[in-house]
Amino acid sequence: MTMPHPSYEYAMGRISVFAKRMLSAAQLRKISEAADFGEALALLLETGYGGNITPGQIEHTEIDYFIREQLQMSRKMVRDLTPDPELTGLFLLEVDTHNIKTLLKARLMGIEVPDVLIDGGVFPLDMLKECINSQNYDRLPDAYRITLHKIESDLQRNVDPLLFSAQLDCAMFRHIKTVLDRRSEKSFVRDYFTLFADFQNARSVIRSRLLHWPADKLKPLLLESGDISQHVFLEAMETPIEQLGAKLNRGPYGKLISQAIEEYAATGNTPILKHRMEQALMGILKSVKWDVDSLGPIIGYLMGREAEAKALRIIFGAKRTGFELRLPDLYA
Amino acid sequence: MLSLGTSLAFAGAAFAASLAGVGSAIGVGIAGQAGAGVISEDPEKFGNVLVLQALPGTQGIYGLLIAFIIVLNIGVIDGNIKDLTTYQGLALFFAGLPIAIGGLFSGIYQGKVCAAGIYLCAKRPEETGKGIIMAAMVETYAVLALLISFIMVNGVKL
Repeated sequence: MTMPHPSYEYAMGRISVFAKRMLSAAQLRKISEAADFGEALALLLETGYGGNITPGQIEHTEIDYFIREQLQMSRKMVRDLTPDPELTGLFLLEVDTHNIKTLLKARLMGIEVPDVLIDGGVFPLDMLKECINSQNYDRLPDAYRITLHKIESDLQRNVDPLLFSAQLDCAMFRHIKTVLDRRSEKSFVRDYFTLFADFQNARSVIRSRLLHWPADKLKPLLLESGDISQHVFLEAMETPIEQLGAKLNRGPYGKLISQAIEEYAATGNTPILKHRMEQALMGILKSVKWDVDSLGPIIGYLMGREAEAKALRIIFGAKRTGFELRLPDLYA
Repeated sequence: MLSLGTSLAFAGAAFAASLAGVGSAIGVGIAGQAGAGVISEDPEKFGNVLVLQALPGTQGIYGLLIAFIIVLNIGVIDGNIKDLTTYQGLALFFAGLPIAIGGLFSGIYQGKVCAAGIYLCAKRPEETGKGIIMAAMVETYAVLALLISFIMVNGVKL
């Protein structure tokens, strides 16, 4: 017998308490302005992050594991309390896709699975390990199963890590599209993944142009589930940079993509595209932050925790190496 | 045997008590689920949460009040049930409808506002009072429905 899923009201009641424990932009800025690693860690733990831990209990090398552990706990908690595990699971597929790539690479290199595997995805880690080791993908959704069979047969001829990584990303988006179409989903979840796919494709076009790739090398990198047709992106390879923004200004979020490309064209700053994409995706989540009967606040919390972990990794990475840092867009 | 008029008056009382009660039950249920979520993580909020959860319960009381006045007026309480004309019965039936319908919908929507107030209380306990005020705005319309039902019931000469 399966347990009934919690109601939206119950889930949001719990989330509203958890959300109080998220680090605010001001707190993260304060941590980022700390003089050194030790001070940054002390400031982080002062906020109550991770419970009652003192700086002495964490080694400098352990901070990444510590942040990852906190994020895994948040993912597990959201998965346990969500009233709609299937839609929520779409936001956790990146974890599974990362694990599949890592396991596949480890098998190809003949090494033990490293501890970069992440718990908290949709598929149990043990099941993924079994699938990859036995090359039997029947327990995975169709999009992954078909793609992994294709990758396995390609691997007989040659190994191209970039290509199979791209193929798995495409499989993830194909699976997302299948789920959204089957459920006739029209909520912010579709908007989120549509914008994600279109923006990511636009970034792939820019990257391919910078690397002087031909259009057929771009094709396998293009994600499905976007609003902009793939042939538009392929044509965009030949479009002059000053007209590229206008060419990709299609669909409800085309303007955001267009503005980001124009900003890139004016400055030549490639990371701006990723930054604008993250801002736009966070904007969608913030627009449903105050919904009372949708997944909006629950997914917002989950992605907010992801952004928080990313910001902390950037801060502590910068403190260790002395690089200049730029914080990602936050939810809290 | 009861006349059609008396039966209609009974129907008015039944609608007033039951529909307003259903509205309250749904509203209290919505707020209760939200409250349980908050209290499972922060039991100290129980006092504030309880106030917000109880607010949508008033519609059921208003419905019961109107139903009670109707059955009192037609003599059910003292055991001498009056023989009402069809028009008197219809009048009492319609008199029960404002609180029945108003109570049903205002109870549900007040429950949603109370749930939002409970989330507010979880994030910013010092602002709980504002959550209660916002929930009380919905109560206005239940009170208006109660008022018109009360005037109408008292306006029927038996």
